[in-house]
Parts: sequence; structure tokens; C-alpha cells
Amino acid sequence: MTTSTDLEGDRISALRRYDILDTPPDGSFERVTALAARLFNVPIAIVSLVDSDRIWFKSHHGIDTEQIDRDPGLCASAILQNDVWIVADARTDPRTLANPLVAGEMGLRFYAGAPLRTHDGYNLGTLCVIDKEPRQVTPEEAATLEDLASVVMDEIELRLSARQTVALESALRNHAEETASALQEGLLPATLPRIEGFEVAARYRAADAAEVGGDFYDVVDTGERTYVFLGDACGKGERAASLTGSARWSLRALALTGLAPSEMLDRLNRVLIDNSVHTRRYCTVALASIGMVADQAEVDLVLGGHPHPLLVRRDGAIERLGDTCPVVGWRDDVTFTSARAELGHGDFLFLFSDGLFEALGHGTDSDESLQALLLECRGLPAAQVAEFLDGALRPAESRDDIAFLIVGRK
Amino acid sequence: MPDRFEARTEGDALVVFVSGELDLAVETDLVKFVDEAMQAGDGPGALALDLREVSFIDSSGMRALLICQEHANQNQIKMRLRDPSAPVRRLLDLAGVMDWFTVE
Repeated sequence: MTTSTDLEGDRISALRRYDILDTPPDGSFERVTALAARLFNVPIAIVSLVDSDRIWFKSHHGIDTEQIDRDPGLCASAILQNDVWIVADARTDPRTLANPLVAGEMGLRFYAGAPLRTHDGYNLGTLCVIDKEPRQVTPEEAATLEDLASVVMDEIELRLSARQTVALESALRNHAEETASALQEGLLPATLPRIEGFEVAARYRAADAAEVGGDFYDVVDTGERTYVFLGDACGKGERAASLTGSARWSLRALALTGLAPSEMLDRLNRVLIDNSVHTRRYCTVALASIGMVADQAEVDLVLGGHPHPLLVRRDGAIERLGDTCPVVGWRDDVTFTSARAELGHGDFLFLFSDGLFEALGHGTDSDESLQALLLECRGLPAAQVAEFLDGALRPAESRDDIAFLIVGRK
Repeated sequence: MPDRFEARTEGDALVVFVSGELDLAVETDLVKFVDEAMQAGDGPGALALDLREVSFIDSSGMRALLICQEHANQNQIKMRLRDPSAPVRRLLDLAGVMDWFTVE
């Protein structure tokens, strides 16, 4: 058998669910109490919530009190029934004549309270109107008070559902961010290798933490040569990530075959076409191999639809490297041609994805700002160049991922 | 996505005017729009994508252009790019694919 104590416990649980007690004043509720006072022509109107040991006022028009003890409160009686609870003259009504609010300083004479009833049937409190003069309530007035109580309850329900939606979205986003970050770890190297005589540094910033990016890079040292590459798969999310993974791991494997960069890109092109025949995706890649011939560090570089890497000389001269060849993974009738350069002591090679243009906040029409920044980095160690550029980026202005990779010769 | 794409016929050719940002958000919409335009009636004799009003394009937008061209080829319809805006030219040049398209 259900006891009244059980019911009151359930009612208090329902009240807690709305998380409304002790929240700050709020315009919507203030408007309803002001309206109720005006309609009934009474000095006081209250939105009350009956807690376990007190009655707390969400809105109190015409009275400064924010809460009262539950014991003498008339609202505690009003919530025990489902229609409007009316005391026309409290001094003569046997239910209230001994009540301290009536007999004491407050001198309350008239009370009408409509319960605030939840969708699942719990009376949380009331919308009540109070006067220090006795008065009658017509059935129309009682109906109006009930309607206004429904408006208050709708507002309370609406807030709960808005809060639940926000909490759900936040949980979903956290989950997406965790998944994206786990996937991303497979697409980027955890650390870059140390290479005798060179320094390497890289940065990656995803445009959206909840989505796997399309950029990838890596450095492979075979002992004879060092291969560095940086690419950008078209699109975002899991499909782009699948292409990104294929491209990165294919290039790592191809680096071990000793093929020239142009041949490596040719192989990669075929791999990606076979791979994405149903999804039709491509990527852009800048791929360089660096080998020592006597004391010369020779760079052999090939571009598949990718922005030209920049070679920043120690003296501040900047060269755009590579011949433009088409994107990788779309058509099988393309030829990739490589270009050569020499990396001198104190020079560095800068590979980047085109998200960098946007993040430097100067549109996408030239790389002048980038060159100006790189000029300031001439002669610096790779790690410091990365640090400096990272500080200059304005990722908020970029909707694209940003990746860059620096190879400097000591 | 109001008025982002608009199709007009010029003789036996169909011209699709594309405006605004051509990115991931509209990639599949453009392909669908062009597919449906090519399927209508007996199908056009030729197809042109007018790109003068494209203010931004990224790799996904370029992918949409490439797919449109493949679908046009499959339908034996000759597709051209008409008056590509500076951002479109820049990206197609950078990506090394400008000569995959007939540009007028």
C-alpha cells in the first residue's frame, strides 16, 4: 500500500528533477505574478514551490520574503488538492483562523492558490494570490488562476527539457571528440624521428575537435634517405580519415622501397584509385626525399595538387619548390614530375596544408603573409619556427585543418 | 540553400549558375542538382557550370565539380566550366586539375 509519506517523497523527487529551487529571479515568472496581481486586483502574487521543510518563492510580487517555513504555509495545504484552493476570509475560516500568517503581523485575509502540476501528476507548488482584505472568487477567476498556473508549469517544463537537450548534446559531442581523437592518433605520428644533421618539427590543429581531420604528415628515415610528406584528404570525418590512413601508411611503406618520390606518388595514385572506387575521393600531397651526396643535402620533391612548399634560406631568401601536378587518387592518366633543390646549413624546408592560409587571416590568394612570417624565422631551429608560427595562427578564422612540417638542416 | 543553384537552358545547352560558397555543406547538393538537371527530359546536349559567383571553394567543392564532370561524361554530355571566379581558378590551378576541365 502506498502511504502519504511515499507520495510526498516522490513529490519531492519530482521537484528536485526540475532543479529550480534557489535559482535567480527570472522575467517570465515575474511577468506572470505581476499579471495575476493585476487581474485579481490584489497586492501580492507568488509562484511558490513546496520543498520538504520550506516554501520557496520563485517569484514574489508585492512581498519581499523569499521563503517561509513549510509549517504555517497555506501553499502546503493548496498542493494537497488538484483544483484551486480558496480561503475567502481567513479570519473566519476554520482551516486558517489560527494560522500565524493570519492571526499575526502579516494579517492575511484572502488566499487563492492553483497547484503547479507536473505532466506526471505531482503538485510542486502554487501560483497564489493574496490580500489583506477578504474577498470572493468567481468560477471564471478560479479558471483564470488555473490557466496562469499552467503557463508557469509549461515554463518550468520547458526549462527542464532545454537543459536535458543541452546535456545530451554535450554528452554526444564529448563522445565524438573522444572518437575523433582516437582515430586521429592513428593518422599522425606520435613522435618524429631524430635525424643526424637535421631537425624536424610539426604542428597539427583540427578545425573541429569532434571530427577527424583530413590532414596527415610523417617523416621516415630509411638510413639512406629521409622522406617527409604532408597531405590533405578532401572532405572530413571517417571517410576522409580512411583515405588519410591509406595515404600515410602507403607512403611509409613506399619510402622503404627506395623509389624516387615521383614514382612513389604514381604508386600512391593507383592505390588510392583502387581504394576509393566507390567513394571517389582524392588527396593532395607534398612529398620530399632528402639524401646526402658528399656534404650536399639534396631535396627531391614532388607535388600532387598541393601548395608549393617553401625553402627558407639562412640569408632570408625564400623559394617556392616543386612543379604542380594533379591531385592524387582521382585519375590514372597523370604523370608526377619532381623538382630538385639543395638544403644548405641553416636553411629549412616548410611543408604545409592550405588551411594555413586561412588561419593567417589573409584570404587565400597569396602566400605573402606566410613568406613574411617565415622570413622572421630564418636561421632559427625548427622547433622555434614551429613555436613562432603556432603563435601567429588564428585558427578561429579557419574552417579547415592546419598542418605544417619543418625540416631544417643544422 | 535558396538560389544557390539555378538552371537555365540556352539552346540545347543547360547552364547551371552556382553562387556563394562551394564547400562540404553543398558538395552533394550540387552533384544532385546537376544529376537531376541532366536527367530531365531528353537531357541537354551540353552542360555548362557558370562559376563567376562562387566566392569560396574548398577540396570538397572541387570534388563536386570533378564528380559532375564524370557524371556528364557517363551521360555523353560535354561539360564546361564557364567564367570560373578567382577562388575557383586558384584552387584548380593549385590542384593541377585545370586542364581536366574545358574552361570558357
